[in-house]
Amino acid sequence: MAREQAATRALLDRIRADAPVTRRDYLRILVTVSGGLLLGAAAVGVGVFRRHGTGTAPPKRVADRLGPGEAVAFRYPGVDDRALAVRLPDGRLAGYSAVCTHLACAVLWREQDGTLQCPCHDGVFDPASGEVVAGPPPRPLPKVLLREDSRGIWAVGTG
Amino acid sequence: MAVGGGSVRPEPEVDPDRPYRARQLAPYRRDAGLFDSGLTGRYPGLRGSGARDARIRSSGPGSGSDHDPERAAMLSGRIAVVATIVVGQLWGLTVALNAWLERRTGQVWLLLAFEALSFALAVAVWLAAPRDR
Repeated sequence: MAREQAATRALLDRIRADAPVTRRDYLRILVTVSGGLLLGAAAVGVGVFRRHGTGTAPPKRVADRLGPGEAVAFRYPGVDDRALAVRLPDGRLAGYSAVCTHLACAVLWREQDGTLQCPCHDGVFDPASGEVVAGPPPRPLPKVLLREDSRGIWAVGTG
Repeated sequence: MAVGGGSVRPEPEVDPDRPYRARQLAPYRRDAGLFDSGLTGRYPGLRGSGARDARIRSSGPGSGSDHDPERAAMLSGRIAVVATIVVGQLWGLTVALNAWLERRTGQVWLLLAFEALSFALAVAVWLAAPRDR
């Protein structure tokens, strides 16, 4: 009995000594991964991944007025879409998503520098265009369209 | 059987009372039959009989030798090609996600077509392998 068990154990050791995954298995696994990547790209194409400004919302009043160099934070179009509006020193009004395009930290207005800055990794954005000026963010900030009238400043859409 | 250098190849370790023991113990192994046949040494084809070894397709002179020595290289080549395709698809997925976030939808569809073409190519390379195992 013990001899039979020892023989069985020896045979199992021999079987396990070889890698159970063959090169043909690797080829099949790679093709499966390729199909998974195709599915991932299809998910991107049909819009599974959320981005700022997805969806629509009615115009939202974000401030009564803003003086030069002042900014206000708000959420538009959804409650998860953090945004900010800035009155530039030259009087123009600019609105952007306040979610950094690097790792989604909050983007803040630094009046002393006149820049939009992400403090997590020192990403800096141009307040006039939303383009990346410095730091690791890979994309400019998505725009929030603003309108100003006698009743205040309104967020009216995303660009 | 004498093999080069005068060494003697040991007899296959097959229990005559239980010739299909490996298949019972490890049914998930497609090569369990090779263990049962004792053809699992470094040069399994040298045994000569070809019993239960799908790679040996005929008997007689030369039987047991590899008739398609380039087959293994072709398989490695296929793996290299498909791995390269997968790396390209990873790049494409990264660029597609970036384009989606920047609202460049046209570029997303182009990259989706690229991914589909790459997958079709990978499947073609996979299916083109000969069914010799």
